[in-house]
Amino acid sequence: MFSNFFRQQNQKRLKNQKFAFLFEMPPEDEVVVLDTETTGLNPKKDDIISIGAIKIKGNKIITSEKFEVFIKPKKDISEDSIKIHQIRNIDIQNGIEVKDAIEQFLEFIGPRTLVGYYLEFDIGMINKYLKPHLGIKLPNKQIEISGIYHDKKIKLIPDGVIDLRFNTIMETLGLPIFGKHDAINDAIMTAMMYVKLKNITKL
Amino acid sequence: MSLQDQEAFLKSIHPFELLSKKEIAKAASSMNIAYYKKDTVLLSPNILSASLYIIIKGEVGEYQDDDLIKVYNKSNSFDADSLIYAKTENTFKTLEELICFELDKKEFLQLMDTNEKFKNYFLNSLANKIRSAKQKEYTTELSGFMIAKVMDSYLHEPTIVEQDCSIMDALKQMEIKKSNCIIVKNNGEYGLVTDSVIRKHVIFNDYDKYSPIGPIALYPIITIEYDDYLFNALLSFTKNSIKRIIVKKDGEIFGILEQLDLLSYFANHSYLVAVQIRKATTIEELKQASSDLVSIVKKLHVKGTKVDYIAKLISEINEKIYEKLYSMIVPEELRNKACLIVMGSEGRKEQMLKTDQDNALIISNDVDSKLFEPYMLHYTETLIDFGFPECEGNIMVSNPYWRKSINQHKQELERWLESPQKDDYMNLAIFFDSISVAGNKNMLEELKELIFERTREKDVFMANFAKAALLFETPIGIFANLISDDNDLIDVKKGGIFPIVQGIRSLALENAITETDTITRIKKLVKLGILEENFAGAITEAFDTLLSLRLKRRLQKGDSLDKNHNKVSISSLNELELELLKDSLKIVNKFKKMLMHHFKINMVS
Repeated sequence: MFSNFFRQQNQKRLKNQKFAFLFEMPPEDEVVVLDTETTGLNPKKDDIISIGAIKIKGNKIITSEKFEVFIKPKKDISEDSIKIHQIRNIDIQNGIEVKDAIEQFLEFIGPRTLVGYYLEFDIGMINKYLKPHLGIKLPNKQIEISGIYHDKKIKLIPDGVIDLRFNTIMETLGLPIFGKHDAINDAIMTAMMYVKLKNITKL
Repeated sequence: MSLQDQEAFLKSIHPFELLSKKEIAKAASSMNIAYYKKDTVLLSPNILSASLYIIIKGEVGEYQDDDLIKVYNKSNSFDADSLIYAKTENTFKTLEELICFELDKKEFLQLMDTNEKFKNYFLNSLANKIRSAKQKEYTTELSGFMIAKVMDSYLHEPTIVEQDCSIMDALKQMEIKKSNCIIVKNNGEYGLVTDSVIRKHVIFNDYDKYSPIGPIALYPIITIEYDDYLFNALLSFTKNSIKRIIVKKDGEIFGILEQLDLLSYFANHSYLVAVQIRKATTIEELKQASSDLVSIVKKLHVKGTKVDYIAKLISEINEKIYEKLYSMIVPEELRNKACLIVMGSEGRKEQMLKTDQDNALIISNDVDSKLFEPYMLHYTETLIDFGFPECEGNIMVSNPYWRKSINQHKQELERWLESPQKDDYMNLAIFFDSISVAGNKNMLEELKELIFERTREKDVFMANFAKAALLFETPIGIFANLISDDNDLIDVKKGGIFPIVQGIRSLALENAITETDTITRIKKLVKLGILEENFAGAITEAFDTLLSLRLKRRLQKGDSLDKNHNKVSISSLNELELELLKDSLKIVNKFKKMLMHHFKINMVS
């Protein structure tokens, strides 16, 4: 009930009615998995350098229509981050403005539910730009993949401590790990986790 | 998986590596990833196929009338046929959870449109599929030598004259064209005049050099089609002991292939071996000539020559050795009083290295068989010395059972056919495959006639005869998995080669086909409408694959024949060979089913 209230509050703040579609009814059985790569791990200080997103319809991951943008950062990417996502400063010199990236991203996701791994961080990153630009936070419903994983796993080992590292989840679910950790790659792997978790009742 | 990863993944899957960089990129960008639970039916006669599935992880089973006939796993793709023909008879169901790429039907068909090789891979029947895979395997090793066609070699311009042209005029024309021989046209037929013919007639026999050339020409000429393989030309040179062969195109004379030009194409000395054999005057020289065979086989195999051709070449050479040795050992007055035959694999021209001797002697009724005894004992011993191993079953001319008069042979044949004991089916089988290599060849034909006559409409006998083809289990499971004994060996002879040989032999016997080698028998059976052409092609390819795998293994292990010489080690095969082996064994199984039905074998067992 309250969530509905906040949702309406949020909608009222929307500065540009072009994006009113974000508040419509989402299409059935479709979600979007997203992942961002950033200059560092502090949403307050760091910038987004890349957004990757992929749609899932039913049990199909629509890799043929993936979304991937690179953004020109305001400050240099930290050495540690480069080591993780292998995006160097030079790689994104031709990136687009963050404002355009966000708008394109909104077009892609529409009102669909968002899925991600430690999604809160990605959403926070996006909201950091979205709020000043359009006056709203992402209104989409959100599903935390490590949350579903945790819930299914905890049934087996109540009171246990559950290892929620990305690679551990991939391994436990028996999913093939491939490629380097970039936004779109991680989004696809997360999508596989989601589809698999959706189809099994226990681990 | 990023786009690059998808491309790399696709590229690692045959036949996607045939696609161009652009095509791969296009395919990769239009694929989706799908997840299916266990026991999901992906395709069936009622569920039309919308995409090509390429497995990332998981297993899918293909069912035909509830029978699981094939299992697909990582990197396999299916089912191109359903996409191309827009229907399927079979059902595809996930055997475990599946993660796969789905390549859209439209996209897939477009790739087939733009890439000929890619299209052929999917369009062609299994036989062609194996061939295309083999070509891929061999292009790395192929020196260009084996796929060379006659037209690729240097061909001499022919000098063609009418039969009433004078010898002198013909020689002048030959001089102008710098040909080495003259072809004489005689009412649509062609004859050949060479230097040696002119020497013989004009110089030695004082034939008038201004008289017509027609009468001195040699008929008929030996020809080869311009698009035939050079290798077959080599076979013909060896077989006919000739120096040149006339090349024809569309029924017309196209050019002349000289032995020297051909030899420049061949690094090995197979022709030279044949010459050495012909020129040998002592047994020692003959032995010398025969000793180089293994290295020839090795060279040919490395060069990717079809096993069928290698075997034929080796057989031609071996036959020459047998014939020459016969003439060296048997006194002239006895030579034509008997017929030396080789049986079994040698008769079928399918032995690759020096395999066991399987030979026999048919002796004319009007001479005492005993006369041949010392010569035949000597013959067998000499062959052993040459490196042809003794036959374990003692099927050799040194054994009186296999050295007897034509009447005794007939009696024994009748007994094999009327009241066969356990070995008699096999005796008949190898005898039926025999060819004569020396002496009076008519005697063998007489015996073969008798066999055809006596087996006609003997259904029960034929069923029992054919039953041997089903004796050994084909080592492939219902899930298209190979079944090896514990040390990872597969007996390709029992599992595949023998069933094909015996099955085809049975069909050949039933249909009175006189040819002895399996491949030609198959061709004849197609002509008679007994075997359907596509199926026959598949059997032929399966046969070649099995022989080839066995040969490879034998060459690796050296010349020695150990007890495993019919076995292939699974772990030593690459993925492609493994696929070929599986496909071949599947065909063997299909062939067995056909035999079972054709000879109504279940009625006698």
